[in-house]
Amino acid sequence: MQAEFKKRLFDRDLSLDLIRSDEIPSEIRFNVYRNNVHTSLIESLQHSFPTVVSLVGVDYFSNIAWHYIQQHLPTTALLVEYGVNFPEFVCGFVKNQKLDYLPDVARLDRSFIECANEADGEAIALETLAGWVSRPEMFERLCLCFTAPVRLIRSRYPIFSIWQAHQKSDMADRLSQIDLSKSETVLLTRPAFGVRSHQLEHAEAVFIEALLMGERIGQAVSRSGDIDLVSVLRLLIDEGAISALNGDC
Amino acid sequence: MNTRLNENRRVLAGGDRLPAKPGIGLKTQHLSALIEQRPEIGFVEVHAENYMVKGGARLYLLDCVRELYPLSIHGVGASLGGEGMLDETHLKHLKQLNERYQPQAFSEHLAWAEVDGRYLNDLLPLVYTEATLKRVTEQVDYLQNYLGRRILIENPATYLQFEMSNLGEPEFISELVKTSGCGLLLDLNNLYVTCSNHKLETDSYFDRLPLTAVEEIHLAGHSVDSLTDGMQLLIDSHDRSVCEPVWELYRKAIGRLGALPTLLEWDAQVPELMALVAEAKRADRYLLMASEAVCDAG
Repeated sequence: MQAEFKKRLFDRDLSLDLIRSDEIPSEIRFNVYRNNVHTSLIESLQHSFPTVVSLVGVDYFSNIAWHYIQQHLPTTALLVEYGVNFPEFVCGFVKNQKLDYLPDVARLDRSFIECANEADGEAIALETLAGWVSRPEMFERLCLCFTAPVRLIRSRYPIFSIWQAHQKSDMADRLSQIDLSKSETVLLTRPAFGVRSHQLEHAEAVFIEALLMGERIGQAVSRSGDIDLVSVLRLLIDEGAISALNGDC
Repeated sequence: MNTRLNENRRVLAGGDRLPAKPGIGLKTQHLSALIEQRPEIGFVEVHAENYMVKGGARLYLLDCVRELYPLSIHGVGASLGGEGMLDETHLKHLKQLNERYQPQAFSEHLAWAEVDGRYLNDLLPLVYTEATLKRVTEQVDYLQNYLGRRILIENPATYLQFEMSNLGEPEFISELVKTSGCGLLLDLNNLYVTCSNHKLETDSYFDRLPLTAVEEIHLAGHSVDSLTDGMQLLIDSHDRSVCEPVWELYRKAIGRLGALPTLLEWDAQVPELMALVAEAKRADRYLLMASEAVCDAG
């Protein structure tokens, strides 16, 4: 019976003769549940993708979300996990519109939620690194283990600038001044309990991405080219992004 | 660098049971304000699913709240009325929350939300038959054994009845309570909404419930969907203050049952924290009057 009930939430052509009839039409009674299911899931997606909502407006976002819900219902009651593949879905939705950056902005929104809710963990202090710096041959062979909240989001579009504009009341003005041909990479960290965002230079982004893939410091440096190694490592450690140094990798 | 409370040093607020005082439904946006302002309320209640995350500020702030107030954890997603098996991962999360926060009460709903591995995020209605009763009793029993505690089940707000139902809702709840040994979370707004939507007498519905099993009361606001020909459906929207007829039901209920832990729920268009506290203060006045009446009678 419950499978039949569910079908009727999404298909208005099916009979509602499972409902006891009275003077209030069954359609009106059943519509309360249709509305509850759709509205609550749309609101959940709005909550998870606030920058996307600001960029396209509540009505247009709700339209995308409605279509998403028809194809992708949550698989668990943990709504914080709902919408993992929403950025890819948005990609298909905005094709041929001047919103090519929207899927990457959605990925950034999603990453904020993940970063905020990832597991707590101990991060290393700067002194831990200091012991290795004096031994360059061993230092270059180090791998870094990252704390769970760290996220790196690379984009062909200026997603950090767009996200920053979204934080301000004059978003439209600020958006109009952004050069949409610019690529940007964002690093998210959670040094205590608040999520912090950092825009990275290209070389820094390549370096940190290589480290996240498990490459040694020496390999990551040769991949990124000219980089201020001390300042990047200091940033990562100050931001609580590193949980361990591994000298045996 | 992340700080976590030292589990061994934690001193949790309250005793073994929720106090017979008003509490508020704690929204995540009010966590910091509650810790800073520390309003005089009896307890707080949180939705379990909002805290099913691996770490971060939310869990930490609830740790802090738990040291200040007795706690009720209220699940909305276990789908105890579902036709399938309970989701083991969800149960594991519930158990972890119960172990971490050691709430004075844990409650869930007489409803279903999950079918064929898809979660519909609403409290959907049950067909009231002997077969459903047997199934829900087994699920409640299973959850109680899994958590190692007695749970409370909340009476639902419904908008339709099924042709196939052949048991009344109060009778279904009475039998569930009797057979599973669970307690009843009496939601008076749900009772009012359900009775209005199905043209049932609130007094009769109330009298048929297992009143000795009531351990907590919920109060909330509802909206009115006006239809043609003067008909209406009440919607359990939790988006406004409690209406006068529900306050009247509350006074009658505690007049008969005595003072009970009473929760003010407000889940949509949520106002400032202190607006919820003001609603709780009104409940407190009625609770005081109910206690004085018992003393006078004694």
